Amino acid sequence: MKKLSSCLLFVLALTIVFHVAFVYFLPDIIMNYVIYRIQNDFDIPTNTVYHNEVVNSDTRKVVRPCPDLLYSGMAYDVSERPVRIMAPVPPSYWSASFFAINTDNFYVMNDRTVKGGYADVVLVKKNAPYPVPKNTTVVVAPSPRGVILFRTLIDSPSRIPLLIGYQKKARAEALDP
Amino acid sequence: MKKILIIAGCLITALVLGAASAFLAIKYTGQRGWVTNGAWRTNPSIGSENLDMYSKANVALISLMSLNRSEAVYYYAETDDNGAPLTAACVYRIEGGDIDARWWSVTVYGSDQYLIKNGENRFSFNRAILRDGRSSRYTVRLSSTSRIGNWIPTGDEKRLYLFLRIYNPGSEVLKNPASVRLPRIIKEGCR
Repeated sequence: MKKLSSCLLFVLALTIVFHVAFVYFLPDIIMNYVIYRIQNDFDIPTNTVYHNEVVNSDTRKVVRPCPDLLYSGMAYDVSERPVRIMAPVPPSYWSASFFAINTDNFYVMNDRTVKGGYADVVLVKKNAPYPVPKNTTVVVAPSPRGVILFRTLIDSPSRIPLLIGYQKKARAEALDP
Repeated sequence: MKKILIIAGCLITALVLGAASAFLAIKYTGQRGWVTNGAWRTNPSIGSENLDMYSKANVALISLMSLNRSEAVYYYAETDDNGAPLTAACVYRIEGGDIDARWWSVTVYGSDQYLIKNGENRFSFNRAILRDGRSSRYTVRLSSTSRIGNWIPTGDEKRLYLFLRIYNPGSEVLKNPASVRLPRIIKEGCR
């Protein structure tokens, strides 16, 4: 009887540990899976912006795709070197949202907040010395790895070619540390 | 040997119970904070960094990489205004006016949460619908068969899901997510 009680207590304690660990780390697991898919399924290296086509009913990579948006994205890794992200801002709603490995949206900029019509951001890791190229915005990433998602609103089908032209100019490059 | 088997059994049991209870807790506690507005539901905490671990896990599962509220507010509907599940077996009339925001759009998804294949390549409507008419109000029909006027084909989907995205929402949307005027979803009939 004593052995059974000990066993049950052991299982209960472990269950609580596993429960908390699952809940706490689930966002990290999901984001790591997203990064894995970007790198392997989409075959896009880290710190490289990829550009999706206009979505339609054949778009099956992500659930609930928005047909009114052009999506671009990148998996970033600033553990070794800072990354510079550059994008011209289109004449439509546009945003770039930065997500940490725990899915926190730690930084966002849009076409109204970017000065001069050109976004130029240097993403750096916490507590690391970094170079600051002139006229850039420095953003500190709370985690060395994560994802950046660019959204461009298609406000009229006739403007799709123009907006794609802007979309495809977004790029990123790792800087010397 | 027997001791090892017992410990392994305890570990596997704890792992299964821990995972199952975690998913149930995420599912049910993740319902906290949701706001209802007619047939539409939204969670104002989506995109926020200040979430408890259950809400954060729930958002990661259902709304990964959503924008924060100053950038976008998301509503979804899976029923009509009377609470009946949306299905392609019925025709719906969506009525509304402009929303206090820079831009908004309503997209229709099928049972699998993807866009519904159709020859018209028509999946959504957005604020531009108001530019096309002289009125400040619009009507759009969801129907599996062709309709006169604005309509979105629904194929033969058993369930339909509507997603309303509001970009750069105004103060009315941010302050009153439960009472701001949103599109109505009215069932007109079923086959």
